[in-house]
Amino acid sequence: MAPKKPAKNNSGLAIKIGSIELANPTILASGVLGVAAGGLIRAWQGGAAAVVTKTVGIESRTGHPGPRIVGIYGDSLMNAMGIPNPGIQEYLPEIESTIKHEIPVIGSALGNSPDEFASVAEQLAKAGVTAIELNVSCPHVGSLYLLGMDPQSVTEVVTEVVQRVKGKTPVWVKLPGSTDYPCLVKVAQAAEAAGASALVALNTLPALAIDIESRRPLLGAGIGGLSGPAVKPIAIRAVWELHQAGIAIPIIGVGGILTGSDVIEYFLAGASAVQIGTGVLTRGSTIFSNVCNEISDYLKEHGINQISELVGRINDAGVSS
Amino acid sequence: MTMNDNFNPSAIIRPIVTPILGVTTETPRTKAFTISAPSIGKHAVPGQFVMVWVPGIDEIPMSISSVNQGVEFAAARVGDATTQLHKLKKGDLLGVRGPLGKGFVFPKATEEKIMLLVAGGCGSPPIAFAATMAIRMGFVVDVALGATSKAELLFFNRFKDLETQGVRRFVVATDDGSDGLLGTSVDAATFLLDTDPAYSACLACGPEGMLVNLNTLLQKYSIPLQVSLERYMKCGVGLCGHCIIDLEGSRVCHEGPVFDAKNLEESDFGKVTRDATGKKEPLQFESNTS
Ligand SMILES: Cc1cc2nc3c(=O)[nH]c(=O)nc-3n(C[C@H](O)[C@H](O)[C@H](O)COP(=O)(O)OP(=O)(O)OC[C@H]3O[C@@H](n4cnc5c(N)ncnc54)[C@H](O)[C@@H]3O)c2cc1C
Ligand SMILES: Cc1cc2nc3c(=O)[nH]c(=O)nc-3n(C[C@H](O)[C@H](O)[C@H](O)COP(=O)(O)O)c2cc1C
Ligand code: FES
Repeated sequence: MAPKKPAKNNSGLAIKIGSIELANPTILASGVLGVAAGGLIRAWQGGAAAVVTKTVGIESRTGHPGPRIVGIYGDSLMNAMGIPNPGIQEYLPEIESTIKHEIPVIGSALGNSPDEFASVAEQLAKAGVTAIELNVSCPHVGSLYLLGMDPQSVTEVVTEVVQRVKGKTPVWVKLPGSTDYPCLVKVAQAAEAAGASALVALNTLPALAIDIESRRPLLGAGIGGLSGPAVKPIAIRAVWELHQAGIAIPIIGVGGILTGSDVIEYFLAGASAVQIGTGVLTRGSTIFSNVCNEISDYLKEHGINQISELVGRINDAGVSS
Repeated sequence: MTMNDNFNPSAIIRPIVTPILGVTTETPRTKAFTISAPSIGKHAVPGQFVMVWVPGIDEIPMSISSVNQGVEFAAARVGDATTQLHKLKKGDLLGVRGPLGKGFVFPKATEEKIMLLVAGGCGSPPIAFAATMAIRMGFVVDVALGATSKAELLFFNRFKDLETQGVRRFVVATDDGSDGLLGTSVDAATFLLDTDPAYSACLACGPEGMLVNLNTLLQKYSIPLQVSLERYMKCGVGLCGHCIIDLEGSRVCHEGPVFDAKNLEESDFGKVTRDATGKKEPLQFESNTS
C-alpha cells in the first residue's frame, strides 16, 4: 500500500487545462518512471499534480538495444528507449492501480494508424484516465516522428481518436521536437481544428552522440532524443510561437525544467501547465514539490496571486520569428 | 553511493570506453573481465554494478566483483550480449558506466562480528567483493557457495584463498553432488547455521528462488538478510522505471540492487519480474516451505 501524499499548502498554484483542474502546474512527463504503477505513484507523492503513463500501443514493443541513455552536457541527456511497452492490455493494471489512489492519470498512446491510436485511446478512456496524450513525436521511432510532422496525418489521427472517445475524454497532442516554425504551427492548428483539447510541446529533439574511441554512436539505436536543460530554450520558443500564432487551446510546456524559475519562463511564453521528465534524474522524484515551492516563492515575492495570471505575459513579445 | 570531491556524476550516464586489461575463464560458462576505470573503482562498494556496453550489441548490468586491479566483473554466457562479450580479448574496447545503485550495508561493529555470505549460481561476483571488504573491516566471515556442478562453482578458488585471510568456514553445495553437499547454497547455509547460528548479518546474491528460500530460513534465526536482486534494466539510473518492484516505486537500479529482505514483503520479490517490454512474468522456483 502506498502511503498518502503529504498535504501541501501552496496557494496560487492551481491551474486548469481546459476542463481539467489540477492542484499545481507540474505533471510527470511520459516515459519517466511510468513503466510501473509504483513509479507513477512515486512521482505523485513527489508532488506531481498528474502523471503521464509510458507511451503504450496495441502490441508490445521490446524497444531498442542498449545503450538506451547517455549523458550529454551537465544535466542533459539523450535516450533511445524505443518505447518499450507491454501493450495496452498488459499495461491496464498499472493504470488501474494508480487511479485507485485518486491520482489523475494521463494515458499516452501510440499507433501505426488512426484506428490503432483510437483503439488504444478507447481502452485508456475506459480505464478512467483524465486525458489522453497522443505521442505522434518520438524521434527514435521513425514512423511516429514523421506522423507528427505532417498536418494531414495529425488531422486524421486526432479526428478518429476524438470521435471514438466520443468527446468525453480530453485529447492532448504531443508535438515533435525539431519542427521549424511553419511546420510546428501547421501541425498544431491541424490538431486544434480536429478537436484536440491541449498541445504538449515538445517531445525530445533528434540528436546524435559519437564515442570517439570506438567511433560508434553512443546509443544502441544511433539517433536518440535530446532532453534536459539543453532543450529548454527551444521548447520555450515553440510554446511562444504557438501562443503567438493564436492557438486557443492550452499549451503544456515540456523540456529541461529543473526549477520553479523554469516553470515561470514557460508560463510567460504561453504555457498553462508543464511536464517534467529528465529533472527527476537531477533532483529526484520530489522535484515536483520542490519546483512548486520555488514557484510559490516567486509569486509571493512578486505579489502575484495565481500562477495562471502569468500565461503569455512576456513583455516585448515583438520578437520576430 | 559515497559522494566526494572526486565523484563524477556524469560517469553514471556516460560510458568510459577503454581497452580490456585482462580476461580470465572462471568456469565453463563464466569469464571475468578487468578494465581500467579508476573513477568507478575508487567509489564502488560491494553490491553496486556497472552497465557494460558491448559495442554493436547491447548494454547490460553486471555486478562489480573486485576493484583490486582495475574494475572487474564476471559474466556468464546466456544470450547475445554475453556471447559477444565472451569473444572479446585483452585490448578490445568495452564501455562501462557506474558505479550504479546501492550496495551492501555493512553492520556496525558488534561483539559478534560474524557474517554469513551466501552465493548461488552467478551470484558470486558481489559476494566475493563483499567478502574481501568484510575481512578488511575485521568481520569473521563464513561463506556458503552453490552451483549446478563442481566446475560451475564461481570464484571457488578466490573464496578458498580467503580462508587464510579471514574466511572461517567455507561450505559448498552442488545440484549434482559433484562437490560438497548435494543441494543448493541454501543447503550449504543451513549446514553452517546448524553448527553455529550466531551471525550478526547475512548478505546474499543468486537466483531469486534461492533468495526467497534463504529468507525463509533466516527468519527462523532472526538474522537480518540483505539480498542483491536482478531485474531487467534499461537506463540503470532510476529514470525510466522499468525495474520498479513495488507501489512505492522502489527501483532495483537505484534504491537497490541490494535491499533489506524485511522491506520486500509487499514487493514483487519472489513473485514477478518484468521482461524487456515491461510485461510482468511470474517467477517460478521450488519453495522450501510447503
Ligand atoms: C544488478 C544486476 C547485476 C548483475 N550481475 C551479473 C553478474 O555479475 N554476472 C552475470 O553473469 N550476470 C549478471 N546479471 C545478469 C546479466 O545482466 C544478464 O545475464 C545479461 O544482461 C544477459 O544479456 P544477454 O544479451 O547475454 O542475454 P539476452 O539473450 O538478452 O537475455 C537473457 C536473459 O538475460 C536477462 N537480461 C537481458 N538483458 C538484460 C538487462 N538489460 N537487464 C537485466 N537483465 C537482462 C533477461 O532475464 C533475459 O531473459 C546482473 C543483472 C542485474 C540486474
Ligand atoms: C528516458 C526517457 C523516456 C521517454 N519516453 C517517452 C515516451 O515513452 N513517450 C513520450 O511521449 N515521451 C517520452 N520521453 C520524452 C519526455 O516525455 C519529454 O518530452 C522530454 O524528455 C523533454 O522533457 P524533459 O527535458 O523534462 O525530460 C522520454 C524521455 C526520456 C528522458
Ligand atoms: S532501469 Fe530505468 S529505472 Fe531502473
